[in-house]
Amino acid sequence: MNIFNMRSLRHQTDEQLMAKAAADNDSAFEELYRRYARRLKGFFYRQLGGDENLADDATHDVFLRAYEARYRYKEGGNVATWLFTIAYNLCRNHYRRNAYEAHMLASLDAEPIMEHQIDVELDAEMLDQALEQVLSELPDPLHQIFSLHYQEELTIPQIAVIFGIPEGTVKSRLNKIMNIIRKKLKKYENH
Amino acid sequence: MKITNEQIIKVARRQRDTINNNINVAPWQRPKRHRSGLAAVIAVAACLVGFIIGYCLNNNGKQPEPQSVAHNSQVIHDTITQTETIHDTIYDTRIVTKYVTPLMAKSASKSTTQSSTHESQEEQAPCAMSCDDIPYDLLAMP
Repeated sequence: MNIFNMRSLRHQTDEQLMAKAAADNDSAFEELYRRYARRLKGFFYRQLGGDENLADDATHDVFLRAYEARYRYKEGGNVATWLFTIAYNLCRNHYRRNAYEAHMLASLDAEPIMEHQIDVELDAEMLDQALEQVLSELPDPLHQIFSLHYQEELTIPQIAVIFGIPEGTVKSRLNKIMNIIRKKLKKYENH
Repeated sequence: MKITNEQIIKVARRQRDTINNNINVAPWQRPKRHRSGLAAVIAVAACLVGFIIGYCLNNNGKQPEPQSVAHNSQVIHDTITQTETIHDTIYDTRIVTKYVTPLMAKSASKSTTQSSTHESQEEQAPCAMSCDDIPYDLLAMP
């Protein structure tokens, strides 16, 4: 690949790259892969129980689907949202717990938002270990929302698009998820 | 110490960075384009071209259609002459000549056939008269 071409691609936005990829510019798609492959693999690694091979396959699958669907990309559409939507759907297909997820999320949405936070006292080292454990124990849909917002740093509107739910529901779920995490962390206080 | 949401988020992001930095990412490999569709189109086109070439060759190798018999029959057609020896009595023998129009001419052209038949009848008539109308007594004479 031409090094000058690669350098010029690095200064372009995701959306500009995707538009070029849709016009059969494979270098532009390769640059998108360079930007997102690690993030997506990390997301899958955390979501699919720390299986690196599975995370590899899922990442490749996301980009394969994106590559095949590049002509359908609507100019101006958010590329990160699009890629993480594919990733989220792959996770759902992997677990095949849609009925369970729907029931659990419905009951979560029905719960009232707590006015106060649960107080947790832990030292920094303990928090690191405990949080890793707590996140791995979180039900998949809750883990996904937490991971997409706090780890992948996607915005609330982006997550709303990925999950196909209103922004208000995303906000309330994030609030409840944080309380569930705090509640679980509380168990580690006296260790 | 009291844990804040910011601390939880900070730790979560640190964990993300640790994982992301420790995983290997394979370089992007563009999927090979499926050529089966193209191969099928080429195969169909080749079959079609083969059929057309075969059809043309077959057409050129054919013998020309025979020309109308009727057309030929008007040009040349001889009357067939048949000679027959008839024994009328023990003592008398005569030779009868018959003129027969060929069958081809009959089937080829109606008008030609009709005229040929007419001619042969006309030609045969005197013969028939000459042979058949001779009184038996006369023939029986020594």
